[in-house]
Amino acid sequence: MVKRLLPYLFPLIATILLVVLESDVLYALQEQNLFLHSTLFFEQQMVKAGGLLTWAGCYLTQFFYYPMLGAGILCLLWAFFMWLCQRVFRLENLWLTLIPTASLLLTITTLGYWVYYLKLPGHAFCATIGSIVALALVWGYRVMPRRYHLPSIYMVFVAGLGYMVFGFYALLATALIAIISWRDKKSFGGDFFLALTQIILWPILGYYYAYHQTNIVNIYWVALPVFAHQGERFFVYNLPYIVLFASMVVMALKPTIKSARWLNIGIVVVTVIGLSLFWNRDENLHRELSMTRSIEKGQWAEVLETAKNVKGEPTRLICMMRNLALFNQGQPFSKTRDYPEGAKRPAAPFVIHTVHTAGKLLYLQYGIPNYCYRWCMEDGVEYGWTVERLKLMAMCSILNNEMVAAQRFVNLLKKTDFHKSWAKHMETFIQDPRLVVRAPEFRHILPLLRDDNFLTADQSQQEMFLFEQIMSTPGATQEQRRLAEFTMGYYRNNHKNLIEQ
Amino acid sequence: MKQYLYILIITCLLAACTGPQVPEQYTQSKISPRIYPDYQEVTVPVNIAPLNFELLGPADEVVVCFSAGEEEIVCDGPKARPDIDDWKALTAKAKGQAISVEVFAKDKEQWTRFKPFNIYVSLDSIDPWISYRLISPSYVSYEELTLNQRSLETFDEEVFVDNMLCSTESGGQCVNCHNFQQYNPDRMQFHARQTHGGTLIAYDGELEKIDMNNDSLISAGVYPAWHPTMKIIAYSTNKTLQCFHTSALEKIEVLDAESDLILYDIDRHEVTTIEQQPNELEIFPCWAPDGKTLYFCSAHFEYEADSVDMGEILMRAQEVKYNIYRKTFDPQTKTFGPRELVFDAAATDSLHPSMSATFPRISPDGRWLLFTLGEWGCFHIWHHDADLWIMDLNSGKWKEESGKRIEDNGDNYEETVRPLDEVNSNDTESYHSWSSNGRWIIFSSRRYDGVFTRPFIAHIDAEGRGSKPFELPMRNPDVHRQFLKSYNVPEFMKGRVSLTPQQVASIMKEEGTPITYKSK
Repeated sequence: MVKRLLPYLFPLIATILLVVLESDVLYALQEQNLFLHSTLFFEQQMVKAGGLLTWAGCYLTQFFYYPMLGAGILCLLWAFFMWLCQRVFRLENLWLTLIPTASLLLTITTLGYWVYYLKLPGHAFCATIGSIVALALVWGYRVMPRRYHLPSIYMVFVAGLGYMVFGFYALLATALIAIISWRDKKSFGGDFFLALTQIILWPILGYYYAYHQTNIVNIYWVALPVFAHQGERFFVYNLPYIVLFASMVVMALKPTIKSARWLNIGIVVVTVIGLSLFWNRDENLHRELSMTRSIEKGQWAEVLETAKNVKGEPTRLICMMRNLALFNQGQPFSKTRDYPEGAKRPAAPFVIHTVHTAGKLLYLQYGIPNYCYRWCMEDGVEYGWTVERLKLMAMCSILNNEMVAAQRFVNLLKKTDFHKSWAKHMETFIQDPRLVVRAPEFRHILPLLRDDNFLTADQSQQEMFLFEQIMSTPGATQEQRRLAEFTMGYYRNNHKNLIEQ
Repeated sequence: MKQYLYILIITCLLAACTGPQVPEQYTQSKISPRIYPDYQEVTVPVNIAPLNFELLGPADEVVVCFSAGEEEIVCDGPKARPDIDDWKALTAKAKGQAISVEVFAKDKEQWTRFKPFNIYVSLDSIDPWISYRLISPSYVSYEELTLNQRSLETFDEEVFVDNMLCSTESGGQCVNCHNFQQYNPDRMQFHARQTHGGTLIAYDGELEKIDMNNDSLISAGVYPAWHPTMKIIAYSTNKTLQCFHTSALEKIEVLDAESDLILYDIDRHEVTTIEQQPNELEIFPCWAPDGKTLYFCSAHFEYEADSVDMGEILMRAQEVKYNIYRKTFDPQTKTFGPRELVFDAAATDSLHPSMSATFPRISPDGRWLLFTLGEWGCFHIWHHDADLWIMDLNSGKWKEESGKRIEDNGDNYEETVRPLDEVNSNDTESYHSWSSNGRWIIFSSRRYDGVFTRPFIAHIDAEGRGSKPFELPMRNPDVHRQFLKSYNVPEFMKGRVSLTPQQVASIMKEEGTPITYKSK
């Protein structure tokens, strides 16, 4: 009995690994996510096929606020997924479910910088919930009484209604039903043929009569993440999804694969190799995320501690955040010699502009709330609204004394589960702006704010812009000039690398 | 036992059927209720959808009573949402008079009746539909952009253009500048930019995509003005640049380094130049309702550099001030007369600082010129100082030759052109359009938070006086406080656009018909 349950250890191990190795990423995932308890938010999700799935994904992603809690939920869901696989496909070997479960894990751990760029809301949970839903729908087909064409009618509903709320995963369920039907009847007629027509038909019907937000070329893939940036697609990131769906198809086709020691060991080995190959272990990204979190909390000493422990060449963002921390600690630029220096290109398959990652936070901290606000708005429009963007926009609005606008963002954050208290804290500054001067969140930024105004643009080149357009211009404040020493020094030392990026 | 059960069920059902009651005992307050949207003392058309609102501030229970004569609607809950049929009966009863609104709030077992207010129901009806673009108030990026239509008589809203239907991971497009011929939803045009770019023109059931790019033009057509009767559209062509304020609350600026006016003949696919003056930036064409005059804005700007220099205009952006001009148009020959100054916004005198006027719009009776006035530039939607102004074109109190603001006979200039203070707020008022009967205007305003534009409607009487504007009524009155998109280019329509987003998308994906350029 215990031996048979051994595969269920995998979700537990995966969860422990997630918490130990990826806490910063998990926390970042919820910062780059938004779930609001409001009818409007729900309606806005439901305007696309698969809307219920993304809504549920957003809901669960917010639990990564406590990485252990979010990972724990994933652990339970993965265990449930494995159990469902066994029940639905009537598997004789539970070890087979390791491969799709590992794929679900990889849909999170391969992301790297995609945490900032993926447009699918709630993507961290979508694959897990979607796969569970697909299995549950298949189970429904299996237990449906075989009379009055009930299974066929059920399948039409699975494909039709299911597509509307679960997108691709309902089509996957229908495909699995088709396979099971074919396997049981050894015939391409009946439910198999019906299933194929439903898979083809419903997305087309949805396109013409229900939805107007998805290009017809993408109607079959709704609710799956698109790994594309600046017009380039990165199919390698789809591999966990391909393996996940392919393994479900294999389980539907061949549920009778018996448990055998060599086979089970083979599955474990393949799983371990797959995980170690595809798991994104970019140390610099983790440090960037950790430093971002420390800055948000005003823990400058921890920022420096993280910067000091960098192994190898740090990225420009690590150095910029380190410089900001040194500046805020009242240290001279010469202190930067005590820290690893460099401008390593971020480990992403495309060019990462700091303004899309932690650069927005830096603009705020450098006393240019307009540019922070601008990039929050730009990214909010392009990649979706997130907790991080709303928080920064609220802070920018408070610094600009745009209190009604700030209240709007705060009101939205008050509809979240985990950021209410932050929002209420910010509300105190809106109600009494005099408190801003003494607030640890703002007081170090105030001396960097300047009165003059001019029109310019950063062209997504943050350091150069900060140095040339802001800190070295005649209206720069004394504190800005002190901060400029760091920016200028860093830019001078790493000019070549920065230009190449 | 069974009998008791039936009685209990019937009692419960009867109790459930009983509507909310106006409290009989309450404390009278001298304070007006704090409600969102602010519909207190506004004037509305008789055919408007229910003015749903919510009481702000804490209250355990809320009852709202709308009444006119013997007609009465009582709503409970923090959001007052009258049934649409009851509302129609009430507005019909109150036509030419007022609906009295009483708001009762219960706090700590004590009911308070706030100071009642009126909603005035005008005898003038309003066009049944409006269209607008929903856009995030972003800067350079865009993702989801839709052209929507909304029934003003109900809450029905439909999308008729959605750029996401043509967007792929490798490219999307911006859709903008929708414009109709005389409020006719079957005669419409809009632009798509970047991927699948072009101008789409719908005319009585036919939809065609035009590629207006031509080497002889600065750009494809931008700001449109469809002739009231003919199959011709006036456009500006603009070399546009965007830049960002480092500290000012305006945050973004959009400028034209160059611009001209062109005329597009729909049947002949032919473009001719209307206005291409050196050192002039012409923009925002607008036809007079008789189709014999074209109004437009133009800013005089001389580059110190030898040629168009984006950097220079950026540095001198605050010197760009637009005046309003007009040209006569001969529909027979399709020729234009010389430009005449209508409103010299850029002039400075002891009473008035130099300003910039944009978006001229003529009332359907031809008497009133409504425009936006800001300190400088052409993109007033981002200028917090931008206000609506109105000018009486019949009074003739502006001097044609010199364009001086104050007329020779000494009449007070303020009587001729004035800010529409009844309508304006402390924040941005910008894009505006007249209803087909000339008694209503709809305009964009950022008055609530300075960030997100919302459509407001105001009544304009025969003497050009405005009423307190009211925000577009929504089924859920709170929705505009959560919604992170702006309403852009609100336009009245006499009916609904029958095109579907899918029909538009299929045409948008096609190649556009090229135009031919014919020099003057």
